[in-house]
Amino acid sequence: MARIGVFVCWCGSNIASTVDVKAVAKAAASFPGVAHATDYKYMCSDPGQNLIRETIESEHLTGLVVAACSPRMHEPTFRRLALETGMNPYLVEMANIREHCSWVHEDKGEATAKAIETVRMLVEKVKRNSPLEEIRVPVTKKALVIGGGVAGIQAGLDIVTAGIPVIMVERSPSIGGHMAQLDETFPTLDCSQCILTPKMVELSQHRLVTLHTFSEIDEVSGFVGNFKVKIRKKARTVDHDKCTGCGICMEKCPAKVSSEFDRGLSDRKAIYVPFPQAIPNKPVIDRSSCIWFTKGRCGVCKKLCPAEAIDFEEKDVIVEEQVGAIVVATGYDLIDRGLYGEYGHGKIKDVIDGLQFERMLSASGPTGGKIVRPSDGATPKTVVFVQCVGSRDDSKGIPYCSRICCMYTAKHAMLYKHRVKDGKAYIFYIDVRAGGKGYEEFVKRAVDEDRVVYLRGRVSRIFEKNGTVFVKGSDTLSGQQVEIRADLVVLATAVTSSHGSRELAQRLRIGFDQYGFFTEAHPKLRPVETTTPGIYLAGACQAPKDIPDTVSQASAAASKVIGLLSSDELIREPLVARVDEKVCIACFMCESTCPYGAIEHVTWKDPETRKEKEVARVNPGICEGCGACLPVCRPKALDLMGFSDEQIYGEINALSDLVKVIHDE
Amino acid sequence: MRSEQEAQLRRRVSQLLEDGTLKVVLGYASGFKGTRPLFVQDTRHVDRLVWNEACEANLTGYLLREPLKEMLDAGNRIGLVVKGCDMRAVNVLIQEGQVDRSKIYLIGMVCEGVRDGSDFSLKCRNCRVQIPEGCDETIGTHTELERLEGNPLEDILKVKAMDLAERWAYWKQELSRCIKCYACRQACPMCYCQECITEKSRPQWIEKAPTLSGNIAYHFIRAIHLAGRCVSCGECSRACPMDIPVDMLTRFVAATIEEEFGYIAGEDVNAKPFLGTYRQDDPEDFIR
Repeated sequence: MARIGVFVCWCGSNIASTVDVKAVAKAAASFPGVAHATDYKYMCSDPGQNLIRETIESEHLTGLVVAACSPRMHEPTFRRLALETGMNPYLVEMANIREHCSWVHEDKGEATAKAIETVRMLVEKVKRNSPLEEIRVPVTKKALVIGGGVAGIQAGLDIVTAGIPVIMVERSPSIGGHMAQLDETFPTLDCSQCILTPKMVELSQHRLVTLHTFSEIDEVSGFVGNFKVKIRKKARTVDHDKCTGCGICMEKCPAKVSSEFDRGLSDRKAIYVPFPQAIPNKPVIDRSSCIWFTKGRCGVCKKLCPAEAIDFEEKDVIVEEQVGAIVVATGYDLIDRGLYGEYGHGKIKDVIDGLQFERMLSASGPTGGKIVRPSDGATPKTVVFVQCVGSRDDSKGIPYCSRICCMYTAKHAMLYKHRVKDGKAYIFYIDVRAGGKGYEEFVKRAVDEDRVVYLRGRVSRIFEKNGTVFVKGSDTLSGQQVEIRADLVVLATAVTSSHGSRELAQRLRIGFDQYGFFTEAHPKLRPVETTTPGIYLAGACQAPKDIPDTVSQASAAASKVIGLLSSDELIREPLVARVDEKVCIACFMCESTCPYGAIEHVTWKDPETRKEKEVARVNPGICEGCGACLPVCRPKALDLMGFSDEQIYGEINALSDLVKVIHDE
Repeated sequence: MRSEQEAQLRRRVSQLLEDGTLKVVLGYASGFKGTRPLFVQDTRHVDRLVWNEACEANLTGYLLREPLKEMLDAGNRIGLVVKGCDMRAVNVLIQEGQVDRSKIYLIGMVCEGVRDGSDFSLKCRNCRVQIPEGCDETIGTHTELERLEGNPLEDILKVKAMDLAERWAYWKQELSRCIKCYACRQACPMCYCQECITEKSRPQWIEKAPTLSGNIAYHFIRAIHLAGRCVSCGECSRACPMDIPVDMLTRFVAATIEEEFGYIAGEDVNAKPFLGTYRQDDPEDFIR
């Protein structure tokens, strides 16, 4: 026989001013199965909790309904309290008479009536609750970091500091990411490579780090604490164990293609190391441009290699790894060159994007740090910078702000003025967003000290006439149309999600938005978690971000990983789906609807008939208790612990007097 | 063509039983009001097999019921005479892992239409599967086939055209006659749960007694359970002793799914179950 205790909280005046709490307690006392009902000013306070504790013992209660605030607020408090008294915590339910009642209603009579009905429902539910035990899952103390840019590097370094091994997978031949392409960074103008390369080296030489460059994620299965990852190590065609990195092959290779790292401002060979500080600093062969692979002849590198490291027969290798947590740090891309035809991007030689300009500024870049016109190599005397190229432009399908452009454009203009003293720099902008620490001062410095001219308005067209580039736009502050003869135009093109991000998200079973950026579990309170437990986000793969924000998020993600992997077992709430094997018909509709891959196929022996059959099983380590599998299970072999059909049915039936039913006529 | 098909069917079944390929073949025999199912295990009985306009029934459901289920479980291969439309039911059962394709032998009959009494069945109207696909062998020629004109949803459209009150009155009148004999469930090839929700008691979802509200709950739940699975074979209505057009509910859901999502249950054996798939470009304009 159930002996339920009902505890009605006033929450000071939060509840008591709108709900007649005494009337609620009085009504609850008369519900069948309720052994005791009372009210108190603050149930969550020490005296309130003591009251409950004492009543559980004196009245020999078998279940509790705390009529108070949202379960999100204090359910853990009262469940912990129950556990202390020896009661199973899952025999405690909250009736939310604050958010669902007092806060949203004005009429005291009606609010009280609703509170009484809410309590009636929860009493019926608790009667049907069964004790549940926490789920314990062992964890693999190893982390996977996807992406070897500054976000991945920082996350990896922080994780290994805690003694947890890290496996890093990077798609391109070297770690470093976009930050390795940059020259000086805002707002302090420190050299990007000088601050990044020590981190690259530290990571790659750390005894707990396994580096897989030129590799991609093929498959991810398993669940938090126990992911199984298949990593495809793409054929480098160069055996890195033998290669000494002497560079003869790259020197002699006859095949030239434009360099991705220099964004087309220079050429690289088919056998190449993307940049001088690359890690690993050993080449790979790009088979799409290698003459041996495209035409079946050449082989110069193989002939000349003193270490005999070239292996044309090499195939992709799949490496399997087990990890407990995953950090996704896959970074960003820039919009396609074709998107802004009206700006001549990709057509007019002297119209380049910010990252190309960045390569030009770099001392190790294609021009050795000299700012030149790509068309003739002359020093440009007038440079026009255009902000928001793509960003904040609904008509191009990118309504969001790319966040980094205002700052890097100010930096570009500033660095240009430092190097070309008599040059003129104009910046077209919509507004200047300089919200970070030291950012506004930086922009002001560009205007005040370096005399960069800011023109508020959009550029309508960039065109070439008789070998000269013209930028036509409006200056909305003076209300005039302007046309500037430019030697060089630098477009701050929009940041987009990294190519292949959607496919990766599907493999990882994490969410992504319409632009392909990965979605966090909560925009404010869980910014580095994904909705899939054990998978975290760092950097621009979540949304456009600058370096300080990226590094902060990477460290945050790392701390989440360290927290997760700090114990030997994960403890999970037992609110998961469960299969009644006897009833299961093995149609596996549940498997196709489960967003977490929690359904397994197992053989089950009927203890009565001793017959074996295949049935579905829910892996409690993976199940998130979302309940998507329940409605597709026709015989109702599946049920959700803590929210079982019987419990919900009991709740609804408690209201049957209020519900209009179809009566037989 | 039909008599030639019938003769060939008998010949082939005889051979398949004789050489031991098959343990039993399920087909049609003449019976009261048309045809009845026939299990042929012995070549002496092959001549009882018929193929005619009265072969309206979809025999697929028998695969999951005794005695065929036991025979299949014991590793025997079973022959089944199917029309193109019946193939859809076979495909759904394969899709849902209920039938092992290698354990069954499908004898497809090229079909000129079957009759429900004197008229062609509704399901034959505008039929797109007169020539069955995916069978182990097909009997009949592909030429001289006449497509049967008309709309298979004729009955549904009539009810849909009623105003709300009229429609409610119609269904109340129809469903109040249900005696909860569950013949529709037993006849449906897709209703193969070992424990049906109607038998659940904790909680009891459906009233056991034949009351209007319980009847409505039963038939609506049945329609939802067949969403994306009903192959519109009409077995449920054929089985109903009260002549309630219960198939209209499940066929209406099937027609809506085809219209909104372009999904036809059982059309493609390799398709994923309708309710188990999600596409980013799924229409959602009907969600209000």
